Amino acid sequence: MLSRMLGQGTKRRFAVQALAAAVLLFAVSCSHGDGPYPSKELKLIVQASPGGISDTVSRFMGSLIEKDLGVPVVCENKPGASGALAFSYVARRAPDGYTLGHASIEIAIVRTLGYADVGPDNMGLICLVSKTPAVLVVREDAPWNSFGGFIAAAGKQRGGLILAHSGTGSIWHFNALLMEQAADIRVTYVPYGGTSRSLASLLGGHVDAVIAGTGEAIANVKAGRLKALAVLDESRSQLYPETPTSYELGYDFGAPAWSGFFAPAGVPDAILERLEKAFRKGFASSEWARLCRERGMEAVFMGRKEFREFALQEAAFFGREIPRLLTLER
Amino acid sequence: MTADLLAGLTAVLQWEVLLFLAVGVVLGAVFGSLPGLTATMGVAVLTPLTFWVSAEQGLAMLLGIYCGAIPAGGIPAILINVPGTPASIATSWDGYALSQKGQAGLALGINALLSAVGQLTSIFFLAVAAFPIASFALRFGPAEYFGLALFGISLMAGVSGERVIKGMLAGMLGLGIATVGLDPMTAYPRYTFGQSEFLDGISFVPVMIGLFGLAEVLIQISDRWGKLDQAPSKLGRIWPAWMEWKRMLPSTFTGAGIGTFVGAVPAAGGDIGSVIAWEQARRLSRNKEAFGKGSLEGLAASCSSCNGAIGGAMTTMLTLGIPGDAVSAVLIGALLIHGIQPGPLLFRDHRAFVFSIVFLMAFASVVMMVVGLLGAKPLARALRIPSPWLWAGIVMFGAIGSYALNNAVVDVWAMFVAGVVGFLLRKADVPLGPLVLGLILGPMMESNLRRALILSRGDWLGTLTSSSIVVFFMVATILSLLLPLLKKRRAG
Amino acid sequence: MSRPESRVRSRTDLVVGGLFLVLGVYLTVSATALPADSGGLPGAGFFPRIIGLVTVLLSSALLLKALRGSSASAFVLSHGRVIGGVVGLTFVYLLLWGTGFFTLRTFVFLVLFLRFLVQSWRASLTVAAVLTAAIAAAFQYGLRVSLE
Repeated sequence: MLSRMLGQGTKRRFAVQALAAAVLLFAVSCSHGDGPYPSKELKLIVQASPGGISDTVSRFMGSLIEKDLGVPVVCENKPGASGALAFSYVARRAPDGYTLGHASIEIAIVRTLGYADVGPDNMGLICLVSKTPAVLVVREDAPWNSFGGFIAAAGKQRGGLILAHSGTGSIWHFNALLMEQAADIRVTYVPYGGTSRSLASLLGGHVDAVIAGTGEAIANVKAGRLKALAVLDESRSQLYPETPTSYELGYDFGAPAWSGFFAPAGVPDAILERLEKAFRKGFASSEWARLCRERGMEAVFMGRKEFREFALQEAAFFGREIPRLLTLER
Repeated sequence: MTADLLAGLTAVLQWEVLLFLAVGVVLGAVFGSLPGLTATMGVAVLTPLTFWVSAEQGLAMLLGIYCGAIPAGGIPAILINVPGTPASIATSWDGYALSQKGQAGLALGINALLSAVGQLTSIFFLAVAAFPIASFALRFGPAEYFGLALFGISLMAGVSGERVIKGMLAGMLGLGIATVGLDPMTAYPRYTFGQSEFLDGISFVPVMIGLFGLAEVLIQISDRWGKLDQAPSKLGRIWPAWMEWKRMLPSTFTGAGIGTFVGAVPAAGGDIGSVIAWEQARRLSRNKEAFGKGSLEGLAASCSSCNGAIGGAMTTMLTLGIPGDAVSAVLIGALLIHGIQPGPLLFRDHRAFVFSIVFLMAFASVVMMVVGLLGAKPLARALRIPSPWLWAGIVMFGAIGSYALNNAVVDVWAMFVAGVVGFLLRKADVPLGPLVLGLILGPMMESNLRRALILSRGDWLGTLTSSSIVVFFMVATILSLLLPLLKKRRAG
Repeated sequence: MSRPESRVRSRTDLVVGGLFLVLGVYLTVSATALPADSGGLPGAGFFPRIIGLVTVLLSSALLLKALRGSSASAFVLSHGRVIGGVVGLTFVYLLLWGTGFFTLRTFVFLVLFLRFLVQSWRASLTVAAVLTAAIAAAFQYGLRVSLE
């Protein structure tokens, strides 16, 4: 029928063409709105500056899920207030599954610190993809060759040893406070703005020990300039196969940092499931395994249900412990 | 050693690698010369692209951006008094004065040539003395950082010109702005007014864009409105004469040296290095009065030092795995993606790769020098476009660039307020140099003083005299405060 | 030096000194709300207090100098109306940040900005279009910044 109509006068042909174009446009715009998810570009909000580990994880995972979802994933950095700015920004977005966020461990902490009223309970958590435990390092010429030796020295002269970390309220600071509590010792803290600065002060001989992420300390440990006394986790780290864990040594503490992804609360479960599938596929790739190896992360996967439970536990733990630990320091 | 050198050279002497390098340099020149786009931003944005190419190719592009952006930052500093990157603030002091005297060509030429000299000197240091420099950088503990910051702050009077009291007040304003946010030691919120946007403080780069971009536009409107039809200033020759070379030589090499060492110290970069080098060159010069009014020595010191910081920062990054500045922090991430772990082992296990980096940086600085020399004429000619067009561009790029840094609207407002306040301050004859020093050095001084006091365990005096570096900075600080007074007395 | 001129000059420094005095007093007073020490060492309020006190001292010195009439600065705001217009226009543009239609809004702002600085309609429209396109290319497509 269409072809017969096309055969008649130019004016008519133009009208038909215009109509066809309109129908086509309408169809396209419909497929944008109601088509199968996802039908347009996804935005992934990163809570830290470009170049850091959170940014690398997000951009890398973003490019991996792009392949499965078939739409571009664009990362946007919104650093500030330990990530609270990014978390509350994502929480305020429409729950349509087109705005996602990178969930660092701070998502379970910022409410307790009072930076923003957000936490795992009002988020649509998708999955967890990696964990980074803390490691206690000292200089290679330090008199302590084991975690026990360090603890004994720190127990003898209370507050006598100086420990640097990446900043008051950071996860490595809390690991140090947990260590003090578990081993009943007292150390003197020197907070730095970031792990690399605290490691520099250790290498330069200005402080006695540092608690840092396993990946951040590995270069100087492998080079023999630093000694790793203990990995503060339940199981051994692939990066430090020789180093005992705190749990092995009989001190049940350790709060690894972790990386995951989340959406605003209220995203339909079908969309979360679709996203979880895409992330799971990305997680299983060899590229992801390589990145984890090279950046010193443990590749761990948790689906949305498991991650939710875990994150709520973490939030409850830090909500309970942080106020207590911070009074302990005074 | 020679084998590693050759292997490193052959790895980069491939046309793909050199192409990536050239693309990087040109991109870097764009990022550096546009106020609102910084070298850090350029490297950070392009890092993900290097996931998919070889390590040499990716690094060629990123190092090209780094080595291209810093010299390019001096171009708008010279032509329109708007530093393209924070490192080129000191370049604008003498560079803009020169271009107003009709010697824009010479200033651009010196910027291109001596930026390359600064980079090549620091790259040479990196190649031959990486570990001594790194161990010097490691000797910087809290007390040493405090000494460095205190010394930098004592320069406030020197960069204020005749208006010492007002300069110091501007410095205090800078220090005050720098205290906004969480206290660096106890994480206690200060002047945040309950807003989580202020917890990390006021971002430095938007404030700088405001002070030197928007404020400069307003100053130019105020000074030149109604006189816009005047003939544009001349370009003049580009190549310095032999006598000028001779005059610039000492400040060039002290500048490159100061830049290298300040760059190597983590958390201190080209912005601080160039102000220190400029002020040192002024003190040692026989022609002090010319500084800030178009002194070639001053320009030489600032160009060579802010570029010398590149090699210094890379030295610390490669030898220790610890970033020497913001750009090298992003570069660590890029290296790790390619399975290269910067740190002491890099020099033992991947020596050839280290030489590749050295060659890439050296090539990049030469390419940028050529770009700078060839670009001097067309760039200066671009200034003949009507000033209002230029002003619209600066305001626009400044606003969007401030937002693009952290995707935060609060940064745009910081830029705007800094622009209006900076304009009023300059109109009231309050120098802005000390304000910048206060902004950069305030957090360094405060947090390291307090760290040093924790480490001192009550023995404050002992800590502040514990190492030769601290004593050096303390003596230098006292001298820099006392010498002008003594001279005044002798003159009076 | 004529008399009225020197009076103008010292008035500039009086205003600068006065404003900084207010800032210094504000810093000093508000810093008392911050903890002065933590565990026997300087705390969060220590530095703001010092900065506040030094600001008070320096601004008092400036005020004294200005009162004695020995200052050498003059605040001459020429073309205040043009500057006010540019600042006001930029302020309105920033106030509308994030309200949608970024490209259109930017284009309109640039046209108004250029027209205000007495550029011809043709020049204003062309330059605004080129700059808007450059901004969109650099930030929206190059850096993938989401501007709304």
